[in-house]
Amino acid sequence: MADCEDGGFKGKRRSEQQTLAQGGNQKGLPRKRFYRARAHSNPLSDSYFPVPNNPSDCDWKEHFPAFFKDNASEVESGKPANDEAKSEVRSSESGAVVPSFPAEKSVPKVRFADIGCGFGGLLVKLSVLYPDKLMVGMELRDKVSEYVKERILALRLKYSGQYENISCLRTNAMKYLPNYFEKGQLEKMFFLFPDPHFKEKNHRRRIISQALLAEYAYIMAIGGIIYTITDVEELGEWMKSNLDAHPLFEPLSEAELAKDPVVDLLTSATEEGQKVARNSGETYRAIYRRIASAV
Amino acid sequence: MEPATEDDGGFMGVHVGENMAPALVSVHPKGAHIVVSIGAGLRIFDFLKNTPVAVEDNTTPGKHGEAIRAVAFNEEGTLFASAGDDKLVKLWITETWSCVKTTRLPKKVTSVAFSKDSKWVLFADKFGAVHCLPTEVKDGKDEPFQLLAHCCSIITDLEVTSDGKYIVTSDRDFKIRVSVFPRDPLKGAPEIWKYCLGHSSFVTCTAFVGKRSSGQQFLVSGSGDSTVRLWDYYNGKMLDVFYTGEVEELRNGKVEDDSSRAVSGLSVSPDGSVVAVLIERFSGVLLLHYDDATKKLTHLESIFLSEQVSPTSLAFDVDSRLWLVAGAAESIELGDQLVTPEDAAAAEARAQMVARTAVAHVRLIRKHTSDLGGEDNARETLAAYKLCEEDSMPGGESLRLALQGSRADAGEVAVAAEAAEQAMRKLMSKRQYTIEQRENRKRFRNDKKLENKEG
Repeated sequence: MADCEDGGFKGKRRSEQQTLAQGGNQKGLPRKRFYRARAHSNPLSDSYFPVPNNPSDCDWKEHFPAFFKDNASEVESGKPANDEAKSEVRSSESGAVVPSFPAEKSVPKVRFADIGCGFGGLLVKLSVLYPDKLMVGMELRDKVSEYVKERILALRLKYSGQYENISCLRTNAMKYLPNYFEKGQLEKMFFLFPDPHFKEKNHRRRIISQALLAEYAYIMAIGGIIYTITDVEELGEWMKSNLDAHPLFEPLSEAELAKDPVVDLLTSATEEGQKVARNSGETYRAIYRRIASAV
Repeated sequence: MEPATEDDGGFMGVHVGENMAPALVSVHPKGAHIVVSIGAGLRIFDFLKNTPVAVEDNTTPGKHGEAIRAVAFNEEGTLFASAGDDKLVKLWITETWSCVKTTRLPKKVTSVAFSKDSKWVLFADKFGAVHCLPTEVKDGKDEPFQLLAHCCSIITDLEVTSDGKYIVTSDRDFKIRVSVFPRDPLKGAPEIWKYCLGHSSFVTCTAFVGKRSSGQQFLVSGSGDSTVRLWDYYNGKMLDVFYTGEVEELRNGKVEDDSSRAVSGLSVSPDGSVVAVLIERFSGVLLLHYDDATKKLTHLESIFLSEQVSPTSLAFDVDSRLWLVAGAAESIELGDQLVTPEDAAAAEARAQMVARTAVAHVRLIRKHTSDLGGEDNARETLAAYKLCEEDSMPGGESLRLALQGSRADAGEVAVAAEAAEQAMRKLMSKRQYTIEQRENRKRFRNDKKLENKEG
């Protein structure tokens, strides 16, 4: 109700905002209040959803233009196109641009994924910490993912040369991760303050489960690290016990956690984390390493 | 709704309901039996004794009460498993055709397979989970346990590779997953080996081509995108795509019908070189040749049935004969509401009756023995299959009566089979919304209200 009453006011502010952004104002970062969305989106909805057929069909160039700039010249130097390049050409028949990759090693690949990235707070912090790693946030709520995209574009404008390594996708990570990432591609995966789904009948909607951990293990490199954190004790225990039960993950030691610069960001960087800190609430984290299967 | 009467003879005409389950055929790996499942019933014919076989089932909680959706023999042919919409999994000893084990699963079953060593039987369900049960018969209850799961997607087919090392599952979300068969299945199958991604619609079925003895088999898959694809499942690489819409016979079929036809069934000849393909609304079968040297699929032949009936299932037997079965029976849903034992018994009786009276159509395609004409030898392997006259099918009248039902009528079968196809399509295809429809659904969201006010 309250939302409706002052709706007109917000609307006005939004149009002001847009004019500012269009005018190239240096402070033109998008504001969250104009991208309000529901707290939830049904991850089990199975209407048609546009996804790439397989990882080589993903157009990462669009997401990270600065990292794919030099391709054209490298291709001209006559390096043999690999399989990946071929499938890329085939898949983009309709487009005017036919991207072609140089030899595989120089193709930058996404290495970090923030699943349910929300408003993107973690990505923004990580971007500076790991400027050479490509990272993508995945968010199911359309408004929120729109906001993150705007935010990143605005940051790139404001700080030239920075934030080129982060991007955001709207997708259902429970269903389509293997469509985006190859086996062993990811070095870090983040699950920060996921939806707790308290009801037992909704437990299958939780983002951490034995079945889904098998998928995460598949797309993660051996030695890669999965970070989970929540302010809901019950969910914290659920995530920890599921990770403990999975033979392809082992917990990081306290010493390793202390050395990892990312660990502190889990609570300080995200909007949810800051909210918990403001209310001086407890957080429960489970941080595990992907290990090779026992032979 | 025409209630079925107790008297078989009084039940006239096929009842086409909304939820039609297709008839399925499977052949004993050593050629001893052929089994047709229709509705909740199994029809078995013994080739060695040349007689039909009656099944014996005294297990609790009872016989199949809804349609069977999945059947399989183990590698030696000593065991047989059946399961379906009633969530009951049944294990049969094929020597006596007696049911030795019945277990209830949490969800409706879509596919079944045995492990290579026959110690385990695997079931896939409509919620994307694959469960496992030991085949060993012992006192006390066996609880099924989960091996792996696709996230809430219907699993359409489940296979274990011939070397026993991998589990292949295909789903409605265009995916084929290759998981490592675990050393100890009680601990689940946590390791995904590869994905085979490339289909642009639901995957309906999978099978293996190449010589079993060579140890190097490849995967073929059929899909709602009208293609049969060939995969190196170990590396997750697509080797070839065969678009069934390019086959002339299919193109010339119905011109007004522009929607693509799903590949609905696959079976591979025992030598691993011929792939038989069933296609929606096609009253025949496509035969593709798999070339081991080039790793390609090429069109071999299209064989038409003399009747306008599209088969619902197919299976090669050990002698390279291809059995085709068409038919369907209504699956009467009991639902999840609490039913009294009397209700359940009545439903079971009804389902068994529907199964008994359902009609199926059985045809056989076999290699044409043309050794008289010496000049044909060169082409023998390339165009050698032929529809067998009904009168000259092995088993003769006795087999037809046992498998097809007493009132075999091609027209009725065609109607039922078509209804089963439509039910499959409805279940498998994704709802597609236009942008306008999507926006329309969001019109009451607060942020949309704001935009509208502004506009």
